[in-house]
Amino acid sequence: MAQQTYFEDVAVGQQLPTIKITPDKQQLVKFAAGSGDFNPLHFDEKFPMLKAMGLTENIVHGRFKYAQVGRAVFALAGYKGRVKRFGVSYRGMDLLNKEITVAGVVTAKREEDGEHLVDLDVWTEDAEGKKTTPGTAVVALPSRG
Amino acid sequence: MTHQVFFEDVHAGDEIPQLRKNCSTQQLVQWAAASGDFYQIHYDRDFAQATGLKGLIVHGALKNAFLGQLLHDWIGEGGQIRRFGCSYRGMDEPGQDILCRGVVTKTYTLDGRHYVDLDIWTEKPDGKRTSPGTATVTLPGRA
Repeated sequence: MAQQTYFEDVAVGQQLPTIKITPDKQQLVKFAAGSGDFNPLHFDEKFPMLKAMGLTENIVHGRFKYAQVGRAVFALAGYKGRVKRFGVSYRGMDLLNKEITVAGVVTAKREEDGEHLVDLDVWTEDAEGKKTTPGTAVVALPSRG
Repeated sequence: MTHQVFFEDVHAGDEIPQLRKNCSTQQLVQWAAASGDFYQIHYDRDFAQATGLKGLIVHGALKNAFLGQLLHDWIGEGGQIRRFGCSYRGMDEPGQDILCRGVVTKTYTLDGRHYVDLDIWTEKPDGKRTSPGTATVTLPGRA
């Protein structure tokens, strides 16, 4: 378990540790298994709709990327913090066997109803740096005070 | 409720109603999900070809399950499968028909139960039997 992050440890503009992942086909098939999303777009490179979209490779599930961003958000919260709100939009496609980077930055710190809240911008970006899954999160952290 | 088959209607040499299957790649992934068999030869063409196969192949256990469906569909609510099994002797591929068939080999009554032995198998469009096996079921009698 990583060390607990406290509210006082965090500064606006601070970046979350990045996570890099390169999903392979088995990972996507297992995600299909776990999520129940069995759309062949995600595992059959000969599925006709892919060709219609001009693609020759399978698309990574949006919710897979959401889950990867979730790893970064929940890592910040640790055991003593709580994720209050967390969402992303699916704005761009990522393809099988291509590296995806999860990143995030602290945009605000505030106290509200006795809670110490941290606002975050979070996202995944592809190899070209395009943000394919941008979102926001609010995490309540424990305070040293 | 399906039509119930009775022991007295069944004789050695009878063929039971056939069951035709044709697996999509999606069905193979769903089977991987349900069975926990995530070996890539069932959904990753590059992987399958790298191991020397022509392409994706259907899980053997899925064909065994199809044979279970063949039997269940035939015996109806009044029958019971006592045992069944098959060997994996040949490969099937997604997008190609898999015909499930069964032939009665023996009928007998033991301790008041009506038994039927069968040869069961899956076959490819060219007639090659890819999953031959045997089964024993019990059927209700009319008496």
